[in-house]
Amino acid sequence: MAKYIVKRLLISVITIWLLATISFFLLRTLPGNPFQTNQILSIEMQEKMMTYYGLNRPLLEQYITYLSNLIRGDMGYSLKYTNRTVNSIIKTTFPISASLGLKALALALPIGLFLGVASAKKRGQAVDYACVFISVLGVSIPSFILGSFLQYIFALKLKILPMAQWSTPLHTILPTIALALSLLATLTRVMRASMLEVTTQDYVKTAKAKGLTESKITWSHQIRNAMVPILTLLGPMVATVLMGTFVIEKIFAIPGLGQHFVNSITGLDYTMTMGLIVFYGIFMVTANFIVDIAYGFVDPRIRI
Amino acid sequence: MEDNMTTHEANDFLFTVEAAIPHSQLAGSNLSYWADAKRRLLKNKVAMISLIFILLILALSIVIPATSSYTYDQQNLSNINSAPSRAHLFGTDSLGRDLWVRVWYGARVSLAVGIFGSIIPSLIGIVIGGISGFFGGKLDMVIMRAIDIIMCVPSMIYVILIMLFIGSGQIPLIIAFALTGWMGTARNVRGLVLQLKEREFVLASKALGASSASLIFSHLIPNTLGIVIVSITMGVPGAIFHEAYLSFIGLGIAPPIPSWGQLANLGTAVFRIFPYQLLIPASMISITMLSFNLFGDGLRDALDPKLRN
Amino acid sequence: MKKKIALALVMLLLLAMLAGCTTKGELEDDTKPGISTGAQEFVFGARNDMMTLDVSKMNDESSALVMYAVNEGLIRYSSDQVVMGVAEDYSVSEDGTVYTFQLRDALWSDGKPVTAYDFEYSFLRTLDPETGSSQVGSFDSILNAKAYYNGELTDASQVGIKAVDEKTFEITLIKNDPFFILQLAQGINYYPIRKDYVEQFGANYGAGPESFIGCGPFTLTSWAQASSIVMDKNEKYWDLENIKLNKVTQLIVPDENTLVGMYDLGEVDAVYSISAVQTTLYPDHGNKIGGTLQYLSFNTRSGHVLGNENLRKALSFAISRESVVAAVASPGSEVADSMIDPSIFLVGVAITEQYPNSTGVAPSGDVEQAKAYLQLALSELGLSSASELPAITYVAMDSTAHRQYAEALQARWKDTLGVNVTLSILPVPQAIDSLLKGTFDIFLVSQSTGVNPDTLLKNFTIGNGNNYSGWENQAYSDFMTAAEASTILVDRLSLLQKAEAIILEEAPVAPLWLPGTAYLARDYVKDLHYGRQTGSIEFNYVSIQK
Repeated sequence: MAKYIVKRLLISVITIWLLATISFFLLRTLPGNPFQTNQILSIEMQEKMMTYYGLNRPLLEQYITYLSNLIRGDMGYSLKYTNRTVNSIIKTTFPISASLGLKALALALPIGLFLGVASAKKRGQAVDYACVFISVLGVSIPSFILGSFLQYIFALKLKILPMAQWSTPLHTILPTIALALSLLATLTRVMRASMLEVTTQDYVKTAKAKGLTESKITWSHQIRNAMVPILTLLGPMVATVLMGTFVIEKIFAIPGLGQHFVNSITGLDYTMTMGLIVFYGIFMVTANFIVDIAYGFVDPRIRI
Repeated sequence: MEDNMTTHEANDFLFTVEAAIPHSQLAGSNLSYWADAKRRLLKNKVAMISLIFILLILALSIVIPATSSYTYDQQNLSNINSAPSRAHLFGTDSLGRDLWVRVWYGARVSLAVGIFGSIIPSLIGIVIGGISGFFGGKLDMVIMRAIDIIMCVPSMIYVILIMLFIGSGQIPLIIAFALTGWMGTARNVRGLVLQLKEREFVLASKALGASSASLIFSHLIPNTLGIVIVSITMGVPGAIFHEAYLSFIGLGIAPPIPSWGQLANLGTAVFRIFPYQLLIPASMISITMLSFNLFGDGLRDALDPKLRN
Repeated sequence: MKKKIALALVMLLLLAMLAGCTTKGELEDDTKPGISTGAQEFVFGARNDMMTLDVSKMNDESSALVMYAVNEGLIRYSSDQVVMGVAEDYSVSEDGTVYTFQLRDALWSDGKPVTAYDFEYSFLRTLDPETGSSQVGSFDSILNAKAYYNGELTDASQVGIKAVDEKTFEITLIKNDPFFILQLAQGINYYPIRKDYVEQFGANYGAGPESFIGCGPFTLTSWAQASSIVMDKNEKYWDLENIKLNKVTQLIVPDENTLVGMYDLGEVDAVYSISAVQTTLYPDHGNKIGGTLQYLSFNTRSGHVLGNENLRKALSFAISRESVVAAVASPGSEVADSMIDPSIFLVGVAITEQYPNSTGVAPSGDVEQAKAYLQLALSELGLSSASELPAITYVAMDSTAHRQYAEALQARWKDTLGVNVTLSILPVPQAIDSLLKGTFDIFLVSQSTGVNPDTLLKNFTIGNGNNYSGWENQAYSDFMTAAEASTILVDRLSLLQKAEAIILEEAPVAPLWLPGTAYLARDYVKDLHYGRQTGSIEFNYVSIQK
């Protein structure tokens, strides 16, 4: 086991290095440069800025500099927010995205699992159809539309919740719901499917044969076993959700990480984009790592 | 990060979870399996209604732009943002274009992007995932880590690159989806193949001296086909969603060609003034998504023999 | 056993989430936007956050907007008038090259006096190649500034920027420039910087309220990135008695629907700018006029079909600028028929009236004339119909307005002339890259017209880096060189007029319109102004009268 963990750790490091390398060169193949905004700079000035930031030097040299800084944990200064380091931007915005993501998960997870179980237990009945419908609806509405509607109804018309911004807990209700709905839908579907899957397993049949009560079977056999795939799903889901979502953050004016993912790429803020990719990569790799190890504990059939 | 990622992955995920592997049957019994699946699908009312919706939208998207007296790019700057009327069933947009035609033309674009943007990455995913799972070992490890890496690079970078080299439109978009969307399928197919490899009937064939090719073609592919079909069906709304998302951040189909994502995005900008400009494309997106998802659910139930009881 | 571990892991995850929920209070900052009451508090919403507080590096209007309030230059614009700022008075030498500013007893917000050395430090810091400012071009008219920022001159004392003593600041120009004082009033990069702050914070100078100090009517209290900026009245400001507001809060709300929704709900008192379509809901919106010209730049380089002058004219004449402006542009937009902003005034008269020039295109376009030009162009190119024309690519920056302009023009050219134009909508850096590399055919350029009538015209000389269309005309360049060398204003303007006549005749560019900007403000917000020169809302003298 220890050997496996060490090996996986090593692979994770290599993965991050490759990710940083590929992204670095891919990003530089995009034409244009970070200094051009709506106010167009002249070619001479553009060159001056490129030279100042060392972006005119041979790409390989820049890459080596970047990598050696990265190893020391220094991701450089943003090329747009010129006085701020990428680290400090991530440090201030990530907790906001993470907090919103956790809230949405805290809302979606219990409800999603409950609906999934209820739906599976009452398969083919009205409850099942209702749950399936809710979950399908949840994945059928684009979030920019859902967000706008929630705002329109609860803030503009009913005036019971604030429109946007990130300040009081009250302000977080609408974005949490908007984000949670699609998570909830996903969790419901997976849980339902997973429950149906375990129902056909031998140990459930055995338990029935042993004469255990229905609720006992549900709790101690089905749900427990059905949680395994949920756990696997939760890894990447948590990682993605914590990183923030551009659409929700834009509509609800939330100063999270998600907006930077889009704006730094469209604005060609190289250092910022690289920082976000590496940060996201580390997060993802860690999440997969944990899930794989947990999975190994849970299901001996999967050899690691 | 990207909004639809979780749903996307979960959709793919569903199939591993359910492991809809027709494990009880061997390749020879395929005919009855498909016939049975078809019978079960036809019995599923929700799925059939969904299918009818899908076909109806497809048909209208072909017929309406071809027969209307307006074209999708014909402007009338003196009749902008007019509400739905007899002349313009869905009203006109901010440049005085007929939204009825634009919505149905947009259906063409979105469905094409959705269908091909789902089929092509799925096929790529099947091939790569199949190879990875079948051969295993170092190759498998390399492919899986490569997937980890590719999944972490924001797809926007690829999309912008492709737009610059090929231009913006349906085909570049489908290429972008093909390059960025295969990883989920590949992972799942790999998982399935790994499980299948250990199954008795495969082991038996192997023991009998079957070649790799015959193993792949007579056992592994037929046995994963059902899941793959479901995966493609469920992938269509994912691709339509993704196109809408790209429109929201300003990438994607080049104007004046409409897509539902473009229309909904333009509609969002005027949502409080001319709500119909958002409501119509948004409902189209949602109805289509709903239909594909429900049809996909039905398909899965039909193809999953374990749910036959 | 293993399942128990799995269960434990799930529980752990759940716990982590709950913990995340309970600790969230710490993550939130307490900058709750106050809905303004009668307490002289003004809250406005804008879509973009500022980037930096460092005037040497500042190059965006959102940062400038805040800088106008929290810092102050020698002189400045207020309600489109030049007024004295930190300088009390100034004098110009007889040959018009030396400007001497007398500073008033202004204080920084920590009580230290604002001195000429602060200005000297700021200007020279911006020009210092070590600083890496992209805004050095605005110092070009100052003696030796260019040589210094290009690294050809290392002795800063030879640059025409000098603090004579604590209260006397001297700027030496290369030559007489009657527009210099207006330029000085307009630019945000001419504001002072405190040396001790830069030395203390180094590269992080200007990253937040703690690493910045200003001498303007307000002080920066907090800046929650991409969320809100709070400014309080600066009790040390020299003109304190005229400042009514105690507190200004800028909320950053990227989505326009959300922003106007907050305005409806009274969560903000004003909105920095709104798009054209939103104005239908707010008939009492305010307008800002002029300050920016939008024109089409045609790529005239060899190998591009728009090297043909008649084809360029055909495209320009076909456009009904009037109807595009009415349908797409913001209220307050004006049709343009020349490359000089008519809102530039000279001794009380619009400059375009004294030195008129026109493309000769009617606001509604002239389709007959356009068709005639097209026929000429086709015969010159040896083609029989417009459908045989090689591909014409219109590259546009990705924004709602630019998209709509592009779509409107594309449809117009197709309908009236049968000319097919392909649109390529790109993110800003890639679009501008295409513009600078000349890989476009048509590009809609949006440029500030400045305070000087040659701001735009000087770009089209041979070899100029901003001559996007690659147009080369010797006579034009000669007139422009002569105008630049001329020290007599009347001569200079008439030379500019002659040059402009050439560019309008050959049409490497097609002036389209001067887009307006609409903004919202409740009627209890008094004395809010949207400046042409500052290009933003000016709230320094606002009072709330409920």
